[in-house]
Order: sequence, then structure tokens, then C-alpha cells
Amino acid sequence: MVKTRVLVIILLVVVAVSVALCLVFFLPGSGKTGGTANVFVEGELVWSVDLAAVTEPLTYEVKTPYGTNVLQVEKGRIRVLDADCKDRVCVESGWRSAGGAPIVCLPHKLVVTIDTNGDVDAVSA
Amino acid sequence: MKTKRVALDALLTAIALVIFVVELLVPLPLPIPGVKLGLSNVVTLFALFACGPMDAFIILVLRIGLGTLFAGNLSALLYSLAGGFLCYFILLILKKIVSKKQIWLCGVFGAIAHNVGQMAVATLLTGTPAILYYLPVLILAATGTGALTGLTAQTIYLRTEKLFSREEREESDKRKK
Repeated sequence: MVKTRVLVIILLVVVAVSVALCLVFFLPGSGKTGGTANVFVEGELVWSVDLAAVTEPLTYEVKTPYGTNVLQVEKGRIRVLDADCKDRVCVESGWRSAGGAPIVCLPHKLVVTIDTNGDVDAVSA
Repeated sequence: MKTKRVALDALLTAIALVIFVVELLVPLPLPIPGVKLGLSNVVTLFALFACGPMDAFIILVLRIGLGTLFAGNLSALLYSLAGGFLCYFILLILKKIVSKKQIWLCGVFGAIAHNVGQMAVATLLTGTPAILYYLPVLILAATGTGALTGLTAQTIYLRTEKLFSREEREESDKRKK
């Protein structure tokens, strides 16, 4: 019989670490408006756009073997405008900008990461 | 297999399936197909302690298989299986070291394991470790729902365990004869 306290402590550590990671990953970047959005399909880079260099909103269609995603890019941010996947989680994810969590469309094996210029952190490499 | 046991397992499976299908009405804005509140784990947990590991496993596999069929989202099958198996494995280990007042903790760790399993499969299939960004969110959500389902399972088990322990005693008596 393991004491409840031990398990609860382990749990609290896991929760604390998770909260910390959430804050790091999801809080908006410190005023970075730049960054490069990289679009991966099945792990392969298919498109890349420098978010800072975008002056007017543009759309880009990504055709994956599983379906199509339409990306919309504005200065400093990107989102999935439309997709023909069943759950449309990628569309619901909304706008993302530098240093934030990636936009993912799992049915299409599509991932959009936004790397801050010059830095490619270990997770998205 | 005793008829009574088959009937009980079938009943529990049916309950798990209903919960599974109904909770799909709640959309979660996370990019992993098959990520749900995981409420049907109440049944898995309960079955593990009330009926035994074998019954719990059968109910789990049936729930995932049939549930995915009913829900019409076959692509989620792999993720659900991975999550379900990892969860079951963790539950098996925990059952050995935990008392019946700590079932809720099993619920939490089982739920976390479930999401980790799904995330692992998702990372492998997309080939992009970047989606691991969502792991902390999933873990926190799992802690919450796991506590909920675990507490529910524990409460139900503690209230009804007299029904099941009698059964186990009858079965072991029969085996001795």
C-alpha cells in the first residue's frame, strides 16, 4: 500500500511542470512580430513564409495527400482559413504568431510552426 | 465463462459505449483526433477493481473498437488504442500498490497515460515533434477529468463492493471444489 501523500506529491509535481510548460508555450511572445512560418506535411517542409515581410494578407493553398488546407497570412501572423478535414481543429486554432504553439491538422498530417528569426528551438527543429 | 460474468461485462461495456458516444458531443479544440474527456474510463476503472483485470481489458477493447465504429471516426482508432493500452498498463501496475480509497488517483494517472499514449502516436504519425507543445495542456486536462472519473468510480465501487466480493468468494469456493 502506497501512502496517498506520495502519489499526490508526484501528481502535484507533474501538474506544476505542466503549468510551467503551458505558460512558456502559450503566452504570447514578448512583442515579436517577426518570425518564419514553416508548413510541414508528413514531416516534410512544403512552404515557408517570412511573417514580417508580409504587407498584404495573402492566402496559400496546401494540398496534402489527405486533403486541402487553406492558409491565410497577415503581417506577423498566420492561420488556417479553411480545411476539408472532418474536425477542422486547425481552423478553430485561430491566429498564431511567433513563438507560439504550432497549428496542427492531424488528419492531413499538417503542422505549421512559427520560428522566431534565427532561433530554431529544439522542439520544432 | 460464467453467464453472470458475461452479462455483467456486457452491461458494463454497454454503459461505457453510451458514455463514449455521448461525450463526443463535446468538442475539444485540440489537434488530436480521439481526444475526449475520457469519461468512459469510469467503467474501466470500476471494472478493474470490481471484476478483475481480464474483464476490464475485455471491456476496454470492446469499448474502443465498437465505440470508434459507432462514432464513425476510424482514423481515431489507432490513437484511442494506443492511449487505452497505455492507460490500462499503468492501471495494472497501480492496482498492485494502491488501496481502494486511492482509486481516484488511478483515474488521474490512467487519464494522463491515456493522453500521453495518444500524443506519442500522433507525434510518430505526423513526424513533427512540434505538436508536443500540446502535451502539457493535455496532461492538465487529464488530471482534471481523471480525478473526476476516478472519484466517481471509487464512490460507486465502495458502495457496491459487497456485491462483488461475494461473487469472488463464490467463484474461488467453486474452484476449490
